[in-house]
Amino acid sequence: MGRRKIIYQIIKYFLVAVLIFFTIAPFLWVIITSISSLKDITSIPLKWFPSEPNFNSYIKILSAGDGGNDIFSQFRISMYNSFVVAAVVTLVCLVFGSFGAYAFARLNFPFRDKIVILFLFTQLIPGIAIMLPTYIIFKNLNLLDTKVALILIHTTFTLPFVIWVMRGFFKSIPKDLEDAALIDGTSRFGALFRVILPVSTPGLFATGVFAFLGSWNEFGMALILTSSSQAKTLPVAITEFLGRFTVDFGLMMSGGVLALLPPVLLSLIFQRFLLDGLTTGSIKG
Amino acid sequence: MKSRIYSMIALILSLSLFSACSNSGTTKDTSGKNGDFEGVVLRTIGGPDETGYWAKVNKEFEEQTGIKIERDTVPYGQDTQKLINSFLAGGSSYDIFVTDVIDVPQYVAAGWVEPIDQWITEEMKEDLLPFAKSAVIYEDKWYGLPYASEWKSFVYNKEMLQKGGFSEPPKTWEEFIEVSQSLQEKGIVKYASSWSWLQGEALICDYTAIAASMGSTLFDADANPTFNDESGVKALQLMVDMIHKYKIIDPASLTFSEGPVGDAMAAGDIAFELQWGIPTVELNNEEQSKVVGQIEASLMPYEVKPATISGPMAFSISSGSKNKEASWKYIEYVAGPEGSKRATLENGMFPGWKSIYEDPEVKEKVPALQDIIDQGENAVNRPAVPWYNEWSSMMQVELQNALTQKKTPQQALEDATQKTLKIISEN
Amino acid sequence: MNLELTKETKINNKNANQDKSYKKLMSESKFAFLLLLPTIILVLGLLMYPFIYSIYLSFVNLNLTKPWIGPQFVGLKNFTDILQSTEFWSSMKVTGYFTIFSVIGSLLFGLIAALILNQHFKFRGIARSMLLIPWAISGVINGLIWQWILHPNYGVLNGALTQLGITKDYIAWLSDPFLAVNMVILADVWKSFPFVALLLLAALQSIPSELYEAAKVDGANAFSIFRRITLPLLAPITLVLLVLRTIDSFRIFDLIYVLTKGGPANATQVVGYYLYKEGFEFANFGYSAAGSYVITFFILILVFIYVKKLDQNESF
Repeated sequence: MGRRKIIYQIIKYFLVAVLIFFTIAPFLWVIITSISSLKDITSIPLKWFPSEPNFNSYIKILSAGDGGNDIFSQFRISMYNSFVVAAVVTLVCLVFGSFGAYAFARLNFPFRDKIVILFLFTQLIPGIAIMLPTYIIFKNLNLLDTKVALILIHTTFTLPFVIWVMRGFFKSIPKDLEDAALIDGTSRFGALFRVILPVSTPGLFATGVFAFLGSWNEFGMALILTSSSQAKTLPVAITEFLGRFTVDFGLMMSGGVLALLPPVLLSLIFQRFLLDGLTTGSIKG
Repeated sequence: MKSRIYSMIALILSLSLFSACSNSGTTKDTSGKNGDFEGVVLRTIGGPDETGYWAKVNKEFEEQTGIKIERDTVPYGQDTQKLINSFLAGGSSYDIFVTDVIDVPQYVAAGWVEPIDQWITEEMKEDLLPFAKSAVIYEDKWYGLPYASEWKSFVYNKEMLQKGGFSEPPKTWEEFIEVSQSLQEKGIVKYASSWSWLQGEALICDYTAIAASMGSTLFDADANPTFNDESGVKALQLMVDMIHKYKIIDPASLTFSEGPVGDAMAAGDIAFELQWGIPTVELNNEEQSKVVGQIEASLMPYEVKPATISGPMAFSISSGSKNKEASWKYIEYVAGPEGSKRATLENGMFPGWKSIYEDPEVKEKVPALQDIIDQGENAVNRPAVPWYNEWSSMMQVELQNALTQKKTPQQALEDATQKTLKIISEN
Repeated sequence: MNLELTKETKINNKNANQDKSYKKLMSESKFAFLLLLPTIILVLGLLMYPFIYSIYLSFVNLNLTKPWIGPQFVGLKNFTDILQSTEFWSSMKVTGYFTIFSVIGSLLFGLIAALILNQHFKFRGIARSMLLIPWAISGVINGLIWQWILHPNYGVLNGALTQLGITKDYIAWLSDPFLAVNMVILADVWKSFPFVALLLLAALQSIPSELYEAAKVDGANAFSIFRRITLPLLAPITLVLLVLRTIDSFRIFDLIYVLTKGGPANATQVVGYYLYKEGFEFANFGYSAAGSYVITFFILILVFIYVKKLDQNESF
């Protein structure tokens, strides 16, 4: 009897190890490369760990250049741009998304349920088809190559999703809470801000992370709408970076690590909310 | 504690909001009068400024004329897409841009390029090199000033060849195969050469050159496709065999653009390369190259006649630009005879002006100039038709079909011929 | 509906009675409108308007190389051209192959991962957290990572395989059509299986343990428990995942753009990349727009079939 259990344990831990390996091996390998020197990287047979790990590539990316048009400064500026755009998109989506979600969850108005479905279908509009029209719109508004343009378009893409998930959250909050507040004399907006939102923080954090990640990682629109360091975001800058350094693999990987750290860190920090949000949103939604 | 975190987050978010709104993209739409360009801003777009050359030149131009240049940098090949967007939205996003010889017919036909006949002098017209014409002149009008009027040069690593017992570079393809195999067997290199045969324009460039070396011209005088004739097929078969039969070419070449090929040469990984412009300049750059002083140029191996591919480019003005006078000033500065000389000396660019080749300073400072000029005599052009890009894209796939051994060279070229005829009929 | 009105009236009455200057509650519709106004503006302006414009484009030929003709209404020509284009259909074939295997791959690995994570073991929380890593990175970075792993001369895949003795020579993974497309699938599966795993895990954890107990008491073994209890209860969430993953796979772009740009020999040219090329490199915008709507239509049909099919299987 005991032997079967031990075998089961061994198999179990083996599978766990394989799973973890498959999941993070690519990621680990990129990190290892980023701290290796070119000599180690290009040695054959493959070196599994650098003989002299160093952070030279990181230091280069984070400090080289003259703050002007050189590729390193541009890279750093694009990190800043990505951060600003993603942060504002998150803020705007959370605010307007909660508003909209509340409307769908709690209020009655004509065509309510049909509009919800319409929102869902907006997610199916092919990105490629609207790229040129979107470019023309922003050109006419004189907003080409601005962070504002990216913020607007990212928000538009993300709002329906935030509304959909927060709607699920709001629906699960008992109605009595607001009713009590309304009866006590608060306005409708007051009920929303002071009663509903504080209780929904898990949902807000979850959708917030989604919104941030979605904006940080977005590539297509950023490629079309930005061109200078004024608004260029990280995914676009990364492709330039890669095109420029075709042999300095350590440098390329360091760039990649810097680009993926914020989304990964954010997800890990807020993982509890994320996991709850993912499940509540899709299973109950 | 919780409220402290909330207020921190709120603070960060509001700061971001302010930061985002404080920038706005504007194309300053000032029309500069003749001679008075103060405050004009011109926008242009180009690839990575690796040597810092453009930053320097643009700054000096601003100091001299008061015109500010804003140069968007994008990865190689992505400027086309941005340019086309700009054109479709009126052409004022970029005042100045670089056209490749293959784009000129299409852009001119669409009315996106401003003719510069009104500004160009007789002197300049005389000075233009014959083969640079195809990039700046279309249907008898001038549309730009020559920039990087280059062709591909064949260079080899002299030391490696000597180590292998060869005092002369190979002249024919047979010799090339022999030398390559020998170098590999002696362990001097893993692969004797890499080529830029990815699914991209670079593949068409190389194929055109190799086919020309076999005597094929791809199209006849009436623009009918002829590449599925004996010499065209032979050229493709040679490329396939060099990878799969003789194994003298790095198979990863099917994913390489010109960049990785140049890097491999500079790293001393390969013994031969076919590269744009004057590769000896960058291969003798102490900071980037491991093979300083080891490189020499020769003619690309051939069977019928020596050949190489030309790829002249030009600085052009957008017809939708709101600052055409100022734009002319700029392209004259960077691509006129004086600016070109500087580009040659400092950036390894190929001038399109005869006078520069005869300039004593240039002759002195550019190594192997004469060899490279000799190659230029044999440079062939790709077809100058408005539907070129469509044809090229189709052709790249068929060539790769042969190179990946999905089809035989004969089959691939025949299919390509059929498709070419279809494209012609639709235009 | 009646109840709502009564409550509102109640609230209003209370306010009216309590205060001389009472605040009448805004009507629900008005409040809803206010709340939704920003969203409506954005969606109308930046989604609906471009959408309609792109529909217009799909019926038009911009005639860019013959500007004297200018935009020309061509009816359904763009659509018929697309449907007759061999390159379009071969990109559909590539996309189909990619979608099938990426969806199967991510669902399979996701299920296995979920089953593993459903067990009790030390560091389970940490293991679950790690799944977030592939999920959080962008398609562009994913392309970068796998481009490096698959590098023909210095990549870790080649290094590992040769050191383990599984292969003798280094392989140029992205230079061979068959290998390239399968490697792209691998990269996509790696990135998308965590999402599947986490959702399935949540579903697994919501299955009441009494069901398992009862089955065990009845003498069922692990395999039949899995087949008769676990799988059917996972069906609803699996359907959702199937739909989401299919839609995502069909529209894949970023990964291809960075990893292979459609090559070699168009072996990885998925339909999204093909339409991008047509639109942005050849400026055939009408054609490209028409194509993207053909795809959308196709996806809708697929989704419809899924839902129908699995709804049928629901009844037992």
